[in-house]
Parts: sequence; structure tokens; C-alpha cells
Amino acid sequence: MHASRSSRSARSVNFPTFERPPVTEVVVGLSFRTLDKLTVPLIGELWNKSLKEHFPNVEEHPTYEPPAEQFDTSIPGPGLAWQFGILPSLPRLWFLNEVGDELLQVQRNWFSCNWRRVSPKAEYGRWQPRRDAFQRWLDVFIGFVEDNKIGPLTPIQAEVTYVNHVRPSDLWTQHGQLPRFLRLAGSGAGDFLPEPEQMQVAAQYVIRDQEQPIGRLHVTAQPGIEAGTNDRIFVLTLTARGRPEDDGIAGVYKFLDRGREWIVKGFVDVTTDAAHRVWGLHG
Amino acid sequence: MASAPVVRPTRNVLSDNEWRPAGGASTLGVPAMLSSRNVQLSARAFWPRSWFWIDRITDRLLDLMHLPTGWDSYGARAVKREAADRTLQLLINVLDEWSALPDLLATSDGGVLLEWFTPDQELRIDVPATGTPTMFYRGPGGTWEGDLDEGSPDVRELVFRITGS
Repeated sequence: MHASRSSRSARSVNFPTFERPPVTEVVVGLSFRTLDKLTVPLIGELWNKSLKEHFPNVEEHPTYEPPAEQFDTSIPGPGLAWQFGILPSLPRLWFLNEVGDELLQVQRNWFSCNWRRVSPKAEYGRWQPRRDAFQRWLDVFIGFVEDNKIGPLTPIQAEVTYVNHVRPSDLWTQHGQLPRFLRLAGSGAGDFLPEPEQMQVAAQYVIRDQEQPIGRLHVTAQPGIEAGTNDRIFVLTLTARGRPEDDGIAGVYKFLDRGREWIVKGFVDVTTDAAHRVWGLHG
Repeated sequence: MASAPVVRPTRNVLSDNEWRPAGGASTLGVPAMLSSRNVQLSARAFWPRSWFWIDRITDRLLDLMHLPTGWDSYGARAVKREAADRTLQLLINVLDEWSALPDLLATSDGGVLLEWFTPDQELRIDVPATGTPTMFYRGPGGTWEGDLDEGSPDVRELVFRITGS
């Protein structure tokens, strides 16, 4: 089933928006049952036929193992193939555009479309273009899988990730001042302890549909040093990951839209009013 | 094109190569090195710079490799380098950057025992220097014991259940 026939964008209304969001990267991805017949030469053929013009640069990377959101307590099935002494056997190919701000990742059980801010002045393209790009290229991928009879493509989990690089400002200057823009973090200081030297935070939330858990939102904040400038930054990452909400690709887009909603509204919830002012919150 | 991004097996973002974690676990301004004790572990896998636990695990493994012979009063050997290598490789495969770390113990035959434990659940993985690792799990869904191979329960999932991370 081609994505374009099964799904149209659910335009969002009443979503909070930011004039100057600290978004550095957006990943829209899908894990699916392993396509054993999807060999490296076939992926090469896909690139040559349909992707090369838009994504002229290719890199080979180790396998990405999409984390599984589980909610039952039974003993899980097999996970990674245990082959000590060798790397995982499934390669992951990266297809990058000339500018380097768009990336497709393809492996036998994973497909994603990344957007990265490549210059400080580049403007975040918002959700709809990211969703459209994912849909466009997933449609191409599914068409290739069907045409070459290496499918069907059976979705397992969809995920959306927003990576935010929060740079020093009036909000914060030291890595111990995470609470100044992140509500999740307590002050860390007390009657005895001074302000922490640095802080990091991780939290996860269950995403439910009519009381049933269907996925999770993961929020992490990590102190870092920016390459090149050696400036302090915080990397605030929000990932929504869960199962498709209906059969077929339409259910994938339904979860992606829900995941994006959780990320955007969750971002507002976990960040401070002072940060909202700096980033220009509307709505 | 620009320099290649840092290779990270379990991450899927481009911008990871634009920053590095702040600070070191045990030093001030000097990056901790895996080879800092004149012994270099050589897990055949890549790991991201942002995994703080690599240094801690490596230090612990190097400690176990330097145990005196007979450390258990019964002639036990120190952990063999091969077992330490395999342990590191296993953990790189199953843990994420925020994962809770297992206790690492030496076994009398030169292997490493990994343990995650809560009152309700436990997971033990015995990594010998050669041969197939074995695994034991006890939890709400029952127990499982056997070789750690392609038919074993998903270790990542079990660790997540036990530790919540």
C-alpha cells in the first residue's frame, strides 16, 4: 500500500508555536518487520533509480536497533542476534542531500527521514514539511518494496524525535542551571550543597489511547560542549515512540501526528515560562 | 562533503556530531581514556561519546582483570581479557546511554557475571572467556534460563523492565 493513497496530513489547530524554537534536528521514523530479501544491492538499486538525484551522498553505518516500547510483563521474545565478535549483520545506509540538511536512513527493519539545521540562521521547517517529506520518501520506499516483491512492509513502531540545542543566554550560563529552562529539574542546591556543577535529566511518559498504553514520550536533557565553538549547550531531546493506531500505513501517520502533539505540548509543559519568552511562545 | 558523522549504533540523529558531553566522570578537563591503565579493551563495536557509563564499566573490568590469582582462596583466576572484551561488547549492544548498569563480578574460571537485581526481578548473564554466554531471568512472567543466543529473550527489554531505564 502506498502511503499517498492511505494517508493525508492531519492539519493541526490550536498547537503552541514558537517564533525561535531551539530545534536542531527532527527525525520521523518507522520500524517494521525485517525484510529479509532487501539486500544491499537492492537498496543500491533503489538509490540509483529513485533517490540519487535528491540524495547524492551515501554513507554506510552500523545497524540502528529501534528500541521497543513494551507494556506487558510476559517474558519477551528474542531480541538482538547474539553473534559475538562481529558487528550486527544488517547495514544501515544513509542518503544525504547536497546541503546536508536532509537524510534518509534505510535498513531492513528501519526507515527514517531526518532534517537538521545546518546553519544558525536556518529556519526550522515546521512539522508539516517534515511529515510530507517522510511521506514522500516512504511512499517511494514502499513502492520499491512492492514492485520488487520483497514485502509486504509491516509496520511495528513509529517514532518522532526533536533534538533541541539550548544555548547559553539570559536563561542560563552554567551547566548546573538546567532548572532555569526545564521544569523537570529541581534546583539541586540546598542548605549545604551549592549549585550543581552540571545536571542531566531523563523522564518518560506513557502515551495512552482510551486508557490503553500505545507508546511513550521520552525526554532527556544532557549538558554538552558544542563542537567547533567549545560553547556550553544543553541537548534537550524529546522522542515519541509507539505502535501504529490502525492497520496499514494510515495507522503510522496517526501515531506520528499524536507523537508530534505529545512532543510539542510536552515541550511546553516541561520548559519554564522564562524559556517560553526567550523562544517566543504563541498559543 | 563534510566530515563523516560519528558512528553510533543505536542513535539515529545527525546532530550528534555537533557536540560532546560536558565534563568527565573522574577527571577535570582531561578526557578519560579506555587505555588509561596500559590495558586497552577492544570490543568490536562503536560507541557514542555521550555514553558516560563506558568509562565506569571499563574501569570495573580492568579491576577484575587485575585480581590476584587465587582471589577466592580456591585458585580462581583473574578475569580473562577475552571475557572482558565480550562483556563490553555485550553491554554496548544492550544498553543505551541512560541505562542502569549491572553489577560486574568475576567468576572463578576467568569469566564475568553481570547482574541486574530488584526484589521482584533479577537478570544474570555469565560471560565466559570462550563458549556461549548463559542467562538467567526471574520476573513476574516467570523464569528463563539457557544459552544467550538468537532464541533468548530480548536482553534490552529485560534490562528496561528491571531498571526502568
